[in-house]
Formats: sequence, structure tokens, C-alpha cells
Amino acid sequence: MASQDKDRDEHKQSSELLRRSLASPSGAPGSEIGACPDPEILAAYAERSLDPDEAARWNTHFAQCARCREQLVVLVRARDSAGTTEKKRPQAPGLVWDWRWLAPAAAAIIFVIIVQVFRPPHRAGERALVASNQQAAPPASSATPESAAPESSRSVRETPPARVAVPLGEPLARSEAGSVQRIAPSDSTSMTQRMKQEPENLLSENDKKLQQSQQSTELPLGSCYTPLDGSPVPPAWAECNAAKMATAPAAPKTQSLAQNENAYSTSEPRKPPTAQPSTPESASAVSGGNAIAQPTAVAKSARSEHLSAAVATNRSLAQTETVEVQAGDETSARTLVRSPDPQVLWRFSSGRYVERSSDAGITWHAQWTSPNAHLVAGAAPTADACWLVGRDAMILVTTDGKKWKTIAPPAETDFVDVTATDASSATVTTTDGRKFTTSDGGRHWTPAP
Amino acid sequence: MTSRPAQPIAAPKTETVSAQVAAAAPAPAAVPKFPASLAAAVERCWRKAAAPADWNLTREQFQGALERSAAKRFPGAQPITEKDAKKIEAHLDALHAADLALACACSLGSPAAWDFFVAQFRPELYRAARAIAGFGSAQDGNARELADSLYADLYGLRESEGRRKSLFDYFHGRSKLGTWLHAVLAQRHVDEIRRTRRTEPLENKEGDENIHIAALRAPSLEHDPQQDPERTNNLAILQAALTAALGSLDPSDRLRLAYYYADDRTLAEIGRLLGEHEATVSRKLERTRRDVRARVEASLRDRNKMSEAQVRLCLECASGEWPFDLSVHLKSKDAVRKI
Repeated sequence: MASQDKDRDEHKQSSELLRRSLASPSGAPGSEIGACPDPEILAAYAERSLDPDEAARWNTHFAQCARCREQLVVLVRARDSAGTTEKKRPQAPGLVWDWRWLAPAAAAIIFVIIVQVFRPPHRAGERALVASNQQAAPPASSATPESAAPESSRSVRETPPARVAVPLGEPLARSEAGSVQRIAPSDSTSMTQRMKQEPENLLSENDKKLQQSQQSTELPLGSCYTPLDGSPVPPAWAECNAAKMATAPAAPKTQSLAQNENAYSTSEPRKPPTAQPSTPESASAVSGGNAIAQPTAVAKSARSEHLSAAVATNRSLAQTETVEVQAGDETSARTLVRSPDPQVLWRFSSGRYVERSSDAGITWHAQWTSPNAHLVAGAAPTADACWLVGRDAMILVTTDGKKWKTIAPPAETDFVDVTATDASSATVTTTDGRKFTTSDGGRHWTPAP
Repeated sequence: MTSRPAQPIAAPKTETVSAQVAAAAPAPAAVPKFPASLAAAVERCWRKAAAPADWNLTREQFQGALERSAAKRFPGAQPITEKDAKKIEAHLDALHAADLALACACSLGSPAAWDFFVAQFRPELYRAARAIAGFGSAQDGNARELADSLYADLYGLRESEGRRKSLFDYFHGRSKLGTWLHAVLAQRHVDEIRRTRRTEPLENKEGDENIHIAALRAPSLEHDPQQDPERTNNLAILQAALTAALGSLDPSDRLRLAYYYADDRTLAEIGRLLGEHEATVSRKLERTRRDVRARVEASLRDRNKMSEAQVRLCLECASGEWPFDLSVHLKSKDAVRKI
């Protein structure tokens, strides 16, 4: 208690000392303050983009210069209000390694990994399947962890759950023992004969391939969970399946032979299948093991079908549509703005690159761009006129189909929609639903009902 | 918007531009040209700038802006040596090229660039001005005036020798254009406040560095040397020890102390200013405070040969009246405090 009082007194004394010392100009360390920085240095300092040495030098100046400190306070206030920094509290440069969130995140990841590794099979059918696989290969069981005695819960846990492993369209065969075996489709030897001759080796190979393929093969589209033993799908997974099916494009149901071969190849690197077809019918066929799916090549039409299925309309229902375009590994959003002339189209990509086509989209010519633009909607009442609107009060218009000009907005807000009847007349809609109309090309705006 | 002839504009010096900004602008004739070894860096900047064609900004004009930026950052580096070239290359790669291109195009009078600047930055400018001036009907007028005056200087309403003077010439790409605009607004606002503060009635506010406050306190000091010369001497010694202790601190620690003790900022405000969490600010302040106290006590013991009791007495003196300028008493026994 006495020590706490002493600490408190010392704290109070020291604080008073510092307050008085720092408040007095002559008491400030060093009387040479030096020239105050220009706004660019202040801005770079506020953005923490100065070199460490330079920042330290200016820290020394700021510690002595009340004027600069006032400017920094005002600057930070202006910056925070304008939203140019993150809305959250300021973060130290090393926040990405902040233990406060890193530790729980790491613990969660470790927990998930442990659950996945040691999770027992959920289904009796799967357990039987795993057990039958292990019984068919007793010598291999001693060599590999996954083929331990079926009575051992540890081995069951270590065996990968079979429900995850089976891609659709994969040829299956049943051994005489009744277990379902997967074979390389390129293998011409009779499956039954191979099973009789080298059951152990085949099984161990297949088990390895099973693991490899399940690592490379995702669940087919349209199914989140496919019971192999024909047991009913749990309600939660059924919902997921239904959702997947609702959005999955219509595509060939099976993979090609070539893709299956890739899944089994041990010399080539594993490649994920390019298309993942799925229907409930094929899933049940796999689970029943009654048929060998007929392989069908994935056609390019499937891709365009997928693109067509992914096209959605934005708020400007009449004239614009947004498509997801995939180029290589990247997917970007492009918004098309159609004009009455079917040959003339405008589009803007990622909200900031405006292009025009005069041959129905075969070729495109860039017309306008801005690194900070966020265009969201457009309207093209004629082949030469187009209005575009977006965030941060952005309104653009072209009246000759070539040059774009920025229109002073009726309100400093985000615009989400525009409709237009000609190059001079348009109505824009704000995020809060207000509408403004112009009939003189944007020089004057009036609120619209 | 009226189109202007696209001609290079010399570094302007307008009356409305703050003295600091005007002093920082180098004369165009003194800007060294980049050597061939920096061509690749210039090309990278140009590509990063991605200036639209309708801005009519040529690569040569943009390179001129880069050269001015480098000259500002590394003054006196002429001719540019190999070592300088490496530093300049790193500087160029760190620039906000797109913003620099916009500022350059606006400075050169491109209507399309101005249209873009207006559409992009005007809302932000007015938002920042409102935040600076405060919210309310009266403050809204001040905010608009603040933003409009800046906008006018950016546009360059004044001309000298046939060339328009634009505030954009003082932007060199080291920060984002938006932050730079905020900094200019902040500087103007603070200078205006400080100017009006000097003409306001006196306030008896502790910590105020207004010279008139010192005059209010000065008369009491005249009696101190006679009434308690030992106390005054102790305080002077204490001040010197404090000055030395503060001088040995890390600059960021010193700044943190200044924000807290001199400006009475809250921990949250200091955190926003320094990019730290409140708890971090509090912890570092406490650590620095203890560090300063330990250094002061060590200095009093070692340098001034004070005993523990004397050190305690010296520190207790600080809780009383604190004269304005103690260092005078250290220099001369006959020194008279000057206002």
C-alpha cells in the first residue's frame, strides 16, 4: 500500500515536471527547431511513407514545434473524415502479426487440422467400406498406417474418409470380396483377374491413388456431400447440394478419360479437373456402384454456357448487364451498356476502363480510364450518346461516341443508376433513392419525383 | 471550364501560398536532368501513371515532373552520380505516379485532367474542409471558403510573365494527392487560427506559449530570487537535468510526451496521430516517464552531487510555481528574467 502511494506520488510529480518542462519553449530540448516541413512532407509523414531516418528527424522537430503538431492533428482529423484511411483505429505497421488475433486464428486452424486428421468416418457404410478394403490386403496393412487392423479405431481414423474421395465418372469395379475398388481406366487387364492375382499390391496402389486423387479432386459441382453407401443425405448437406445445383451450369456429367488418367498418373503432376460436372443421378450411380459412367469430353460450349449462366442484370435492367469474364486465372467484372444500335456497345471493366465497340463486341476501343473511378451503371440512348455514373459523385457523358466529359453532379454522393432518353436528358439515382433529372446535358439538375 | 494553353508553368509564388510552400519550390532551371541509367525507372513510373490520352500529358512533361520531384528530395545532387541514381530510382519507384500525373496535367492546364480532378477530389476536399472547420451553419461557410480558396490556388488564377501559377507545382508525388490537399488545408487553417489567436484577448491558460502569458507570470518571478533563491536555483538545475533527459530520448518518445503533456491530447488522439493503439500509447508514455525520471535523478545525484534528500527536495520544488525561463539562472547569477 505504501509503495502504491509512493508510486502514485512519483507519477504525479514526474507528470507535473514533464508538463511544465514541455510547455515552456526554453525548456524544450534544444532551441533549434528548424524550418517547418511543407505540406508534402506532412502528408507523407501522416501516411507513414517517409524513410525511418527522415521520420525520426521530423519527430524531433514536431516534438518542439507546437504549430506543426497542431497541423498534424488537423490533418489527421481531415483525413479520417474523408475516409482516406481505414475506418478502424490506427494500426501499427506490424499489425498483421498482432498476437491478439493471430493466436486465436492459429489455434482455430490447428484445431481444424486435428479434427480433419483424426475424424472418424461418420457413416456405417463408409466404415464397412474402409474395413473391407483393409481386410482384403493384410500384408499391406502392416506396411502402411492406413491399412492397420480394422478393429483399431486409430487405423480407422487414419484412413481417409471414402466419401470425399470419389470423383464422378470414375470407373468402378467390385471385387469378389464385395468391396468397391477403383482401377486405372487405362488398365486393360480384367479387374477381377487383377484382384485375384495381386490384391494386396493393387489395393495399396489404389489406396495411394485414392489419397492423391482426393487431394486433387474437389467435390463435384452440385454436391456438397455424396454418400457412397446410398444412405440419405443429411438435411444440412441437402440444402447445400440444392444451392449448388441451383447455381451450377448445365454441363457434361462426367469427366473425360484423359482427366481420369491424369488423376491416376504418378509420373505427371496432378492437375485438377477443368470442369466438375455433377448431377444427383450421377452421384447416386457412383454410390450404388452399379454402372461405369460413360466418359464425355468437356466441350468449350460448357464454358460459354457457364458464362451465360453467370450473366446477371444490374439495376439498369433495360440496357446494362454484368458478366464475369475469366482471362487465365483472373476474373473481372465487365458491365455492358447496350445502345439501340445492336452493333454499338459500351462497356466498363472493374469500374474504371471504358471501351466502345462498333461491331457488336468483336473489337473494343478504349476511350476513358481513371485509376480511382468506380463506375456502376450506364445508359446509351443513341449510338453516339452514353451516360455513365458511379461512386463519388461521378457522372460521365459522351455525345459523339468518342470523347467523355465529366458532369458536375447534383449531389455529392454515390450514384447507382442512370436512365437517359438522349445526349442531353438523363435521370440519375443516388444510393438513398433520390433522383435528379437534367435536360441540358447536366448543366442543371432538378429533383425528380 | 475554360481551356488554357498547354504550356509549362514555372514554379509559382502566390501570395496565398504559405511561406513554407513557396520556400520549398525549386527554380526549374536548377533541376538536373535524369541520366540514361534512370530511363527504365522513368518508364516504370510512366506506365504506373497510366495517364489517359485526353489529358494530353506527354512522357517528356511527366519526366520533367519526376526530375523536379527528385531535385526536391535530393537537393544539390548535380551532376547525378551512380550512387545518386540508385537513390533516385528508389525514390521514383515509391512515388504516387498516377497522382503526380494528374497534378502535372492539371498544372499544364489540361481540361480533361481538371474535369477528372474536380469529379474525383472536389467532394473529398469539401468534406475535409468541413471536418477541419467544424460542423454547423457558421462553420460550413468557413469550410467552403477554405476549400474554395485552395481550389482557386490549385487552378491558378494568378499569372506571372504569361504563365499561370498553380499550387499543383508544389506536389511531387511523395504522398497521395488527397492527403497532400488535406495537409495544405490543415496548414492554412492552423496558420489562420494562430494569426487570429494573437489578436484575441489574453487567457490565463496553463501551457500556452503565448508571449503575453509569460508577461503575466513574469512579475512574480522578480520576487523569487530574493525570497527563495535556493528554490529557484534548484528548479533551474532540475530544468537543465530535464532538458538533458528529454534530449536523450528517442524522437518518437519525445513527440509522444509533447502531445500528451504539452498539448493535452488524449490517448486516443495520440494513437491516431502516431498510428498506435491507445494501450500502446499509454504503455510507452509510462515507460518514457519512468525513464525520464530515472535519468533526472541520476543526473542530480551524479552531476550535481546531490544526496537522496536533496534530490527529493529538488523534485518537490516542481509542484510549486514554475518560472518561465529557468535556464537563465544557470547561466549567470545576476541574470534578470526577460519577457
